[in-house]
Amino acid sequence: MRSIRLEPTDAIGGVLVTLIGLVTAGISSQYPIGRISNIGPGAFPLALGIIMVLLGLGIIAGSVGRTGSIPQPNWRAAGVVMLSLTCFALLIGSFGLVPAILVSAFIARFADNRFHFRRVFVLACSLALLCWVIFIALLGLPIAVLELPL
Amino acid sequence: MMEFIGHAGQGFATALSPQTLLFCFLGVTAGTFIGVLPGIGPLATIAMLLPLTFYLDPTTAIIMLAGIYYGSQYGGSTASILLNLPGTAGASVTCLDGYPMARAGRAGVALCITTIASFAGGCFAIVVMAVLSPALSKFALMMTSADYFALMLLGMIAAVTLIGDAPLKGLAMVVFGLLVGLMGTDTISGQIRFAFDMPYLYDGLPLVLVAMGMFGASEVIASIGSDSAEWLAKQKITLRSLMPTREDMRRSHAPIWRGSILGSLVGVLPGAGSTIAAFMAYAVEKRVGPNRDALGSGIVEGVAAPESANNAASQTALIPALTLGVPGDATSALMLGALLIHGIAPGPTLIPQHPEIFWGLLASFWIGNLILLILNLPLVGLWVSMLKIPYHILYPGILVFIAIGIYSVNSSHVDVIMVGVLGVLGYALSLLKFPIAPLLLGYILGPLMEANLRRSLLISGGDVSIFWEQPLTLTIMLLALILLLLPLATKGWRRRLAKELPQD
Repeated sequence: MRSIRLEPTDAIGGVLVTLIGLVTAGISSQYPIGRISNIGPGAFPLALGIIMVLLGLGIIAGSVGRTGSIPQPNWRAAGVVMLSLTCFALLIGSFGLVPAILVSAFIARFADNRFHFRRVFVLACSLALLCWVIFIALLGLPIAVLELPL
Repeated sequence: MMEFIGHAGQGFATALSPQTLLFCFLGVTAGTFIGVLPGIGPLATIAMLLPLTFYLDPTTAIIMLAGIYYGSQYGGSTASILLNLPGTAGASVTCLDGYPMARAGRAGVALCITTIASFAGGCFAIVVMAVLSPALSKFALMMTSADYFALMLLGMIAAVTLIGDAPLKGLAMVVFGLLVGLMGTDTISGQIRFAFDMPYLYDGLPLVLVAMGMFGASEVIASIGSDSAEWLAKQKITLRSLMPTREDMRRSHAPIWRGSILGSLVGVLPGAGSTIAAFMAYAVEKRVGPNRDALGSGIVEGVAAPESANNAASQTALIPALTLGVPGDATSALMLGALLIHGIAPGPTLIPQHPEIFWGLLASFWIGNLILLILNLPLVGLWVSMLKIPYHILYPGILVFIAIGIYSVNSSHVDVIMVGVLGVLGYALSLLKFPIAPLLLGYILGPLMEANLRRSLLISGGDVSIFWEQPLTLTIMLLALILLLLPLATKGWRRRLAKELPQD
């Protein structure tokens, strides 16, 4: 069987762009399109959606017959960054700045393999101190430093 | 002329007040501090530091931003010379000769020449800016909405087809950016668009979120696991080793002039920006420089020319952004967005209505340049030691910094999570080799472009010929068309250029 060679980043990227274009065009056609002399809120995004579909198809077409590879994604790093930011978001409101920094810095260090508990603890504490100095003491941001919900 | 001196005086009076001077200084320092970190370019730096300016009055905030802008660029050059890790495409030109110089133990000289060349390029461009901006803004008052629409189109197309080797992907990112910019409530009809029934999105996605997520958080993800070069730890950069020889200075002189002039010209063009300027300046050195054959082996000319052009262009790129309200590249788009956040609408009315902002900005550009010159030569050791901090210690700090920055804007938890989501999205897009910077340009231009399209069609009563009837509109449109077709025509030229500028 003869297989067609596709450059993977372009092929996947092109499909992604086409899909976004299709979804955009679909959503925008539900908004009022208006008349050409007075275009509604749907017209411009609809046009953009169509352009995006065309671009996506063009990118797919360009991938045919070339070879290439996708860089190995570091999903662990992406997941850890996401988790760290989420924990920060959940903690800062009810517990204040310092706990949020400690926890998110702690989680962030799980992104690679060199995890030493003591070093991470020192790092997290010094970060908390540094941020307190910069953001609270110097810039005076209205964020609670430490709160204990009872 | 008297008027000009009066304005300049007013500008310096604004920029030299102790408060603004302090914030300009803080901006330069913070910008260099973050910008020097490997892999973090000027865009990411400005995005991360943007929230710091929110608590200041508009003039001071813009001046601090200008400082950040400069600092980040200078920091970026430092990282490219010492580590061969350019934060931007423009800085990669500096790597060509800067990194070999560093390996040969002349890192200090390369850094010093960079600083001097940047300063000279910046000074030259400021003069160009002072002369050209008022004239351009007078001219801009005559421009119609169709002209604006055409100009934005031209800028967007130029920004992706001139650089980058994947124009279709770049265009897709611009269009995606335009769409992201349209999210939220439409100001004319009140229609809520692309909010996916989430009230959180009814006001659209704020600039800070897009910039911090796409540039800040995604850079952190991409850089985790990488580490700075081992050999750097052994490098010693002392003040003495910074001093270029008389010979170095003499040889840098002409390239700096050429780079400054070329950079200032190229910067004004929509979409061209500092990357093209740096590449062109290097290419010119390759043609006319007396030591053209040694270029690439680590000679001062190869650092002086692109660095002066780079800095001059990033300066004059702000001319269309400030006087027309149409940014030419992602960085000036971000600066424009920052101005809008502070309630200043750049455009033809900026100079007449807010002369203190325009001239203050100009004066502070110059002062920012001067502070860089004074600050960086003695502190270069500090920046180098910044580069020696292992990344696995650095990134938790950057991440926390992003989180606090975002939270400080609206005290919103969702914003912080959203930055994470955008960061992962940006990372995924960069894995698929999509350029991210055009997205930001599109994001800023989205609402502006739609408004001008609507206005034009309303004025013409639905007659689309308004986009080619007037000579000015026609000219801009034709230019845009040529640039759109350019990648097809210049495949051979690109390949030759790629051969001339080896990107090891």
